[in-house]
Amino acid sequence: MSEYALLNEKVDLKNAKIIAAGIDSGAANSKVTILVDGQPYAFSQVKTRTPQESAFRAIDTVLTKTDLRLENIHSVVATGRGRAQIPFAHRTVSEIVCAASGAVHVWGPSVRTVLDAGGQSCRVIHCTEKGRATDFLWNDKCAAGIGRSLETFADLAKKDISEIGSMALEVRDFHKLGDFCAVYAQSEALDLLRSKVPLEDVAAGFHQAMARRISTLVARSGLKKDFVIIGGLSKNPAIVNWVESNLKVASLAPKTGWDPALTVALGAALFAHSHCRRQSPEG
Amino acid sequence: METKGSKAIIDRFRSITDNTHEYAKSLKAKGRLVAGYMCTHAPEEILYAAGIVPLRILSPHVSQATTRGYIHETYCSFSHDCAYQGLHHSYDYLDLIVTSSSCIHMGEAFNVWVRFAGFKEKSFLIPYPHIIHTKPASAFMTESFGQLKEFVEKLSQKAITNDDIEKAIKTYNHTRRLLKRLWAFLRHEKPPITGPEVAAVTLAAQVMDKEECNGMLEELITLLQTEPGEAPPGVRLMVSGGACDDLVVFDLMERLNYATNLIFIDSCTAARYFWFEVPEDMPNKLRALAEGYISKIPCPAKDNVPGTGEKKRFRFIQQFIEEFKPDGVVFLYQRFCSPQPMDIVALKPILDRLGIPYTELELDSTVPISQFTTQLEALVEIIEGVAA
Repeated sequence: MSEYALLNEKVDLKNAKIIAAGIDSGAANSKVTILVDGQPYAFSQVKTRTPQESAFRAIDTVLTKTDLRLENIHSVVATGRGRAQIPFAHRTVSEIVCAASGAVHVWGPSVRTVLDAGGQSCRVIHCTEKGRATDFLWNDKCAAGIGRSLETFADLAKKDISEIGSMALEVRDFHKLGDFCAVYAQSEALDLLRSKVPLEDVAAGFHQAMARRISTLVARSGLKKDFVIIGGLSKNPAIVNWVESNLKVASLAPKTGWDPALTVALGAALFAHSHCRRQSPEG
Repeated sequence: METKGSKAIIDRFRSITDNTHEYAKSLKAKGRLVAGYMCTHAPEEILYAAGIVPLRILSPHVSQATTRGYIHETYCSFSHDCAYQGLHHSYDYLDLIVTSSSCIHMGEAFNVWVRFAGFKEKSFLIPYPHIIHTKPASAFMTESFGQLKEFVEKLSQKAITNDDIEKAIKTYNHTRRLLKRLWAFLRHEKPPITGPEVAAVTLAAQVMDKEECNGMLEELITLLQTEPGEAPPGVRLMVSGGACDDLVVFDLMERLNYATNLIFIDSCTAARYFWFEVPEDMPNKLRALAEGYISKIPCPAKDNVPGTGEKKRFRFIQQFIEEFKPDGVVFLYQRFCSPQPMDIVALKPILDRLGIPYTELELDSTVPISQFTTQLEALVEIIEGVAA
């Protein structure tokens, strides 16, 4: 489900005082979360083509499901790689502080470490019980361990990105692949496939290698519990399984009905909401 | 539009960093000999005493594959870029190249020039002790500097006298004092010059004839003393790390979504270049140079106090933090550099104790503007305690 729009029908829009939106213009996907008086109301995700075009498509996709128009939204905060290119955003905030804010909102005040494993970068963020980021560590200059490396592996395997994680978990004994470089790891994977090694086996080796790379980043930053994984890769069960196993820690379980890839957009929406509250006379 | 006052002089400095080859060739046209150096542990004073203008070899910031057949892929892009300059014959006008046995990556770049770029007969590798904070280091360096002096005398066909070296020491110390005075402006709440401008001037100083440089620095400082600061006070950022001659990175630090001031750069292309002096009027001039270069803030590759694991550079970093009062630190280093990131591991707990947030930026041939911007803005948000 790479492109979608959803609505929380339980939220009452009629008496809404503050309608706030967050848009996460990511490298792979653009996500929107709309809050009505602080309550998550509407969500969408579309593939990123250009930040501007995808931002409009993401917001239009979600607005068509509601009675809202863009001008009804009191505040829009943009975050993510393309945040500076969103014309309808009132403010921009980095994805680091949005991830912390969104994760604590969804998983609660016990969260101290957030792994945001996205399409083009992987970040480890520490935060307080109030969702304030205190420090972060960014992946080093290599695609190993980020979403794009898994996408290219899926292409190589001629499978959908959503399938390869489950497939990788089907085998227990498999070939180990290098984790130094995503390109080298893929080249090793290709060699194995040409040698008729079963795809599941190669997928397991590849996922384990990428998970090792991510785990190193988390370990370098210093893991503090509770630990939560967000971003697109949090939906890949093999990556989550091996990251947890490498770090010898269980991450907080996904929340029912919540897409963890939307957490950063939610954080941005929370910033938009608080901005409105501060501006309001009752503020 | 023609700039005036201090900005005009800063523009002249910046123009020299942007057009190093034209500047060097203009010196050659005046009959000067020009030597390239690849590491700031090379005693420029010996070259200057022989009438040679030392000029730091800098990188072109062009991502290219030419050097990968000559230097290992996992050597830093700065060393690859500098090696490329030799293979590309960008510096063919140089009369000599020197470096010290310090960073092994730059040592390989030097070897490329010597073996493949026609500098075999006009190159000198200055032997440096592996650890400089030892008793025998001074005598070792005095001897090494003596060998360099002999080599330069032969090349320039000119005997270098003690008076020549003393004069060079005083000229260079004067540059260092002037640069320190320039950097001191950044301690002000509203400095009349920005951090990126100071970085540009300091980089220019590394490729200039020091007498000309000193004249321009004096003029600049005099003007700055009379000019009020323009930039609004913002979050104070300090950089600590390795060689970075890409001024785009420093410009970026003051072009964020938030008000920021770059107030200090601890790197060999900035403060570590000049933050020391050579003792003046010592009878043994080479010994004076050895003592001066031992006293400088060392490159992490040379920095180890034997038997203690202590790093001398850390004391300076803490001193800079006390004097320049940064709100946050940006660790800036070349990808594949080992000594710098190893220092960062030990520096982080120090900053944690001081309550100073930090982030790491990994450099390559080019600057990833979008990613660096996000990291820097996130650092500022953490410093400011931004929360929803």
